[in-house]
Amino acid sequence: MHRGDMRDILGGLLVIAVGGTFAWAATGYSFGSGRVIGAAYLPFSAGVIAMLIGAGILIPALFRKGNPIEFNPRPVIWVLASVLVFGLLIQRVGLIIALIAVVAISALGSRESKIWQVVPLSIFMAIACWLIFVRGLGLPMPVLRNPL
Amino acid sequence: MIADLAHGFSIALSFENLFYCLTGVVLGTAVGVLPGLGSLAAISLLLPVTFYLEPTTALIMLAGVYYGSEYGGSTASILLNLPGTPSNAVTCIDGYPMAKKGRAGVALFMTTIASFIGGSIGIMLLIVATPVFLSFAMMFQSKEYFMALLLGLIMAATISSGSPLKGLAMLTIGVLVGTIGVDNQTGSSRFTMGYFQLYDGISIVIVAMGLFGVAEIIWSIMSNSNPTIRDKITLRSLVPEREDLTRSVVPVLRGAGIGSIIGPLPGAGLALAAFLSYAVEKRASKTPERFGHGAVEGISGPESANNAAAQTAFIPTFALGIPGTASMAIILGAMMMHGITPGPQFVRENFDMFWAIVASFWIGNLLLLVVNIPFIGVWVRLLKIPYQLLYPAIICLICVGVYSINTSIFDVWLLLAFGLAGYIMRLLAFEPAPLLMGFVLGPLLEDNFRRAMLLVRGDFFALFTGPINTAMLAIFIVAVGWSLLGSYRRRAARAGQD
Repeated sequence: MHRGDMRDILGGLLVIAVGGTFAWAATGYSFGSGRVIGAAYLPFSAGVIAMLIGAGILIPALFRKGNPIEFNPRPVIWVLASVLVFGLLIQRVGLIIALIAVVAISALGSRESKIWQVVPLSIFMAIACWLIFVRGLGLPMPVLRNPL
Repeated sequence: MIADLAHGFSIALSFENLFYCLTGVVLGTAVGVLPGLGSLAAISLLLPVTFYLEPTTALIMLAGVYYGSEYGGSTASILLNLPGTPSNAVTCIDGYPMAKKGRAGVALFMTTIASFIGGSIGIMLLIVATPVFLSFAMMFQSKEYFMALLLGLIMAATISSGSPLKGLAMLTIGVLVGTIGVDNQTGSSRFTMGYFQLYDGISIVIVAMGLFGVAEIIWSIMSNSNPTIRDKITLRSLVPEREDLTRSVVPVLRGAGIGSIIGPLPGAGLALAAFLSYAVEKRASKTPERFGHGAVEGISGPESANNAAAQTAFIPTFALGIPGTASMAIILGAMMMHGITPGPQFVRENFDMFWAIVASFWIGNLLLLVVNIPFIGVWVRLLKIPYQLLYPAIICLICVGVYSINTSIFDVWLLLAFGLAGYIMRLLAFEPAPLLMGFVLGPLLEDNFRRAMLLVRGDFFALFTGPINTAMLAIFIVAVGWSLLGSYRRRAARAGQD
């Protein structure tokens, strides 16, 4: 066991980083005068406050013991990959194939998934979304497109 | 008021509104029944769809999803010992033992009836209290709005749950994310990094779907173990004994009272209402030893309380334009997307709409009674769908929903970023709800801050003066101090046990 509550150390550092980035970027805008509040005022103040809060999370965490962070990469990777693939495919090959890919890839995230369930589910979702969003709501999106 | 309500009913009973109300409550029950999918994610999923509806109809449906999920949430608590929504967690304590004794049907029936009575009392209070809040809100100027928003947000972030400091961190980051886009006062584009897609700011749909949709799914896949339900729920098994009814009368009424008071408070939320009601019933009971072993009061009180709170939570959202919880913030976001600014002007200028929505709540609760009691078997079967079949389908809906907002791939990348961020937040034990509230209310906060500063001629400390602001500050200090003391004591008690 290492010293310090890793979860809150990381959390505090991240909050400081996010707050610091916003505060730093905000200095590029006008602060305005006392009466007329400029574009930088709120984001800069909120960024500084976030950094203070982050320090408040970080510092006590350095001096107490904590549990290690439990991390299971499998669902994270496959679920995020499925969203990524949707973004890559939707305008190139259209809704139907993009959604079949989304179901197939996201299903890899769970140990329980079975191929004989995933295949019909992917086809069902592709057709259902086409019916709901394209036919039903009339949203403009490519349904099937030849990538070449 | 009766005439206004009757007028509201005449609008809410139109075929279209009735249809969307039913759709809303059925979807709400479904997401309530299914653990690992909350009403917040469901409302944001439906938001893009409602762009094509009349604002009144859209709100009727979205609100239906919200309070409908409170009805459905108890089903999983009773049958699986797994709360469908956080506010149904207490229902597990006595609902699951009831199911183990073969009384699952009775438990489901009692929670539905309790939900209906609690919800109805909450609506009555909503009707009575909104005008009072309105006349209070009339005294509000930008200075008071700024203070109410600021204190409400801080209270919501610190009280809601977990660590107050982490809640505040999320709130502040939410406010920061809310500033992304063109500043409507000065016209300078903030934090857009040259992406024109960010000029209008990030859509609330993307933030909510990333934090509560994608991240929640990743989290649920890891914790889901596909439990099995053995009980067969027949209509006959629903019939309660006389004793169940007599025991529940007082807890249901008391729960409705507790819930109605908790509902409008910032950050308190429905879960607190349910927990408080449970604690009160256990203390008031002559036989507290029955609690935890299937006491019917232990489910009827809390279920009445959280449904009453679900209705009265609309009071500050409608009358002041200040939502108390993340779900209400989404409803507020939906209103703003439809071009309606909540607050005192909302009820005055959109008189028809306000009363139609209130009337629809009643219709919705009545529909929920029908949807839940005769069709309980359908919901139990829904609960049997394994999660590995459910989540890929939800991801499809999220992807298409986000893409459909602007038919823009950029939005899909943003969804990816917020999904990852939401997962990291859960990993590091940060609550995403305050972030969403800060994101929705941040721009309102800045707007009122600017107007107030102009009004007080740049004197920052003048913002804290005036009778209303002093009173709000006093209440705030007492409330936050009390809750911090509570969490300190809990921590001390836990440290003592170790």
